[in-house]
Amino acid sequence: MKKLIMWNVITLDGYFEGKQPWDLSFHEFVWGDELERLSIEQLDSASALVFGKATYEGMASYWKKEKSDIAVRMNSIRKYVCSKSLASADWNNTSIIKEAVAGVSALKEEGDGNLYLFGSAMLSNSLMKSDLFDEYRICIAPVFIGEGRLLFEKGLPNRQVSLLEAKGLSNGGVLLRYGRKS
Amino acid sequence: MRKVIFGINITADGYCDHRDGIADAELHSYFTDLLRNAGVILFGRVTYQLMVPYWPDIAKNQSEDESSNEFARVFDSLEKIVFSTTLDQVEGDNTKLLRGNVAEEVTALKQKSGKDICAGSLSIASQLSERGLIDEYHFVVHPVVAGRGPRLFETVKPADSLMLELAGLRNFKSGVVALHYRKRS
Repeated sequence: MKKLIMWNVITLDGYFEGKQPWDLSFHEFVWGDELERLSIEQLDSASALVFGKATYEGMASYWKKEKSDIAVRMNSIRKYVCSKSLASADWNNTSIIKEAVAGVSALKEEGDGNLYLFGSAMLSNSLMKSDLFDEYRICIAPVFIGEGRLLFEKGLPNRQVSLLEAKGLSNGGVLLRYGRKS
Repeated sequence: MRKVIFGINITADGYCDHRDGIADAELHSYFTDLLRNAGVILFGRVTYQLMVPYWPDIAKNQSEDESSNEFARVFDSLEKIVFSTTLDQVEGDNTKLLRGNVAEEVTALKQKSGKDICAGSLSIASQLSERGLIDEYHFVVHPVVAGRGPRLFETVKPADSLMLELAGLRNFKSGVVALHYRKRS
């Protein structure tokens, strides 16, 4: 059974992006050696990445042009994009999943390893409603931005989780990891 | 100048519903310590009515476990200000009812000498935060995805982003994590 792991950076007031789509300017407050190391560790331990359509398209256009250690991994790794409307997906090594919950459940059943889901708030919320996440990794940037899009919508099923790790970063970010409550 | 402190229980998904959380001895003593450093605590009507007469009754009867009783005693002895335009009266001779502007009152209070000023509710904290009047935040994060409840800044939003610095992080046995932030000077 594969593990499905969420990875997101949010503000102290809970936003994963600002008022405009792809306004991720608060990432700069926490991005640094520590998160870069974590990103590489995550990608090296990942059997595949799962995205919603908007995050997939944004990431594809960004990473395709990049050459860094992270970019090499992002470009080569197995990727799935959940979308009913996408006809084709041309970022290297991508498959399209039409029905997110059924498709991701089926992926989890195949063998072992870690599936990571970055960004993709709408998809995250529907997968949370179906209780498909095994771990949540959240980095909290030490800033209020006032307006934007929330990562965790109201109406998610009320559920206890279990703290796996809480760690402060040297730049003031906080890394929280939660797993399933056993 | 006196500091304004805001401490709040919040779930991992950022909601503040008082039904979701782990109210154990470690949690009570964390908030008791915050209140010990405070000279006055400020409430809006909703949180005030949630706390009073619940905690003063426990203070009087000492009817709960030691950590709750201790929190109740410290809470009960603290001077309180309730901001409400609809309440007619408040309980106890250490509690004052004000109808005025929260930010103006707090700006004046900060000039006086004394212990910390504690913002005791989300509505008060949002109004003060929006004006940059809160010096320290304690977000006590519970290991729960709540999916319900009020959020900070639901009604009042800061016009500009407000950068904080992380001053401390404490792990509780329950999986609760207390995050302590200071306003950047």
